[in-house]
Amino acid sequence: MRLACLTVPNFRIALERTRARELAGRAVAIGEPPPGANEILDCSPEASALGIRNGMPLRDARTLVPDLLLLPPDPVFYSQSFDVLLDALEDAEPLVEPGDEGTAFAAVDALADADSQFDAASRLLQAVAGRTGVDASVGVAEGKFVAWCAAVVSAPGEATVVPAGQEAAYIAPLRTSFLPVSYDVHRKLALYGMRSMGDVALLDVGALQAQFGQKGRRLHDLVRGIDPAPFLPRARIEPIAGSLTMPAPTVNGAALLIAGRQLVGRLLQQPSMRYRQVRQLRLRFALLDGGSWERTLTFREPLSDEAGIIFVLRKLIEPLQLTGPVEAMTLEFLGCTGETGKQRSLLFAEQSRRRAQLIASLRQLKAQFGGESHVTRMVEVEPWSRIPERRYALIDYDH
Amino acid sequence: MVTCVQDRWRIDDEWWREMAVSRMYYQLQLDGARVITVYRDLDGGEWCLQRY
Repeated sequence: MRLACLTVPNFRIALERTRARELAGRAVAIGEPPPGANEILDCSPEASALGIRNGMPLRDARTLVPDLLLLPPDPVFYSQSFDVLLDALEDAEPLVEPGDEGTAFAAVDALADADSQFDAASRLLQAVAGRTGVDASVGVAEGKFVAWCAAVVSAPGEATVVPAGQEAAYIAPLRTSFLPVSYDVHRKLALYGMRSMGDVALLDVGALQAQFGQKGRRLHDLVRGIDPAPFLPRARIEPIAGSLTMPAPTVNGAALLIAGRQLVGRLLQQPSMRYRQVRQLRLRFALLDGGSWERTLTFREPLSDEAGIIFVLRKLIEPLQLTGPVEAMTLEFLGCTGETGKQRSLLFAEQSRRRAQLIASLRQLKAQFGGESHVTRMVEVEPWSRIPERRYALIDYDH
Repeated sequence: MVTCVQDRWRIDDEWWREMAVSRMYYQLQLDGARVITVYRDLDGGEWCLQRY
């Protein structure tokens, strides 16, 4: 399939430069401070030239380049800008598949001649530059891999069209570091002295499979410009989202959970959520220092009950260590589906029905006679303790 | 009537608390093959039956 790959080198740095023009030409890096990853997430070409690399610990980066300008990450801004970029691409070409952040693929007319394909690529570049202000590069070729290679080797603001049937010849001089394979495969290729994809293309499939197993087959195809990865254009989804400003900036997990609970309740009551279930949720925090935090979570099965969604939200929020207090929270339901029936075990259904009845009776008794319920159950508290009575505790049955 | 001491072990724990735990446990076999676990509190000296 004929695809255009659009990529923005150092996407996050490019975005930061659109909102702070004085960053242009400077050695800039985006680093996640502790308690986060404490490493460099992205860096400008000027910083790369000084030896800064993605994944480098912040302390090493500061030692290496003392006057490095280190920015805190703003994932919400990056992801919103990426959505804008995808929308701009969709306005130019209707079928678009998002790739890694800053990279996207669009289907181009396979029957069009090279000039028309070049025009289509130029339209994509203009659309992105006009809407987001960043300079991208575009490669047009058969399959995702060659299109991506062509985009990466093109200068910002330029497009390259690889003629049909010339894919293998086009990528042959490129280094093997372009190949999307594991570190081990890269290391082995380097040990065998294979520097370019043309070197690897000289080997037959048997030799590659003997060395790399299943990956050998994929390697054999990729170096010949064949990428069987399917093109999956995104479907336009209207997100169901709600925001809440915290009464006072907080890092308290319990306060965040209460806010999350309110948002879940509010979203579930929206008319668009009637008879629908949620597959994914995206939680975003705006932090007091101007930074942001974002996570997307996929449920094991679509949920429509408040308790189930809050249970997942609690698992996300409770262990959280943020770099600053939260000022505002945004919750988004993604991938909503129609309601589906759930096949449950008869045995467990009966068990949970009886348990619910028992709890209701106990609460009734408590309400009627007041005081404590004397029906208790045993729960594990410190199962690792060497003192037996520390391992379990008796709690009210209905708690 | 104890017929045999199957096992014994000592626990010293929670020494950072005001009431440290220091116990000598015994797993005993009684007449009729019943097995129980008892311990002696090494601070107070009293004997206790560990029911679980």
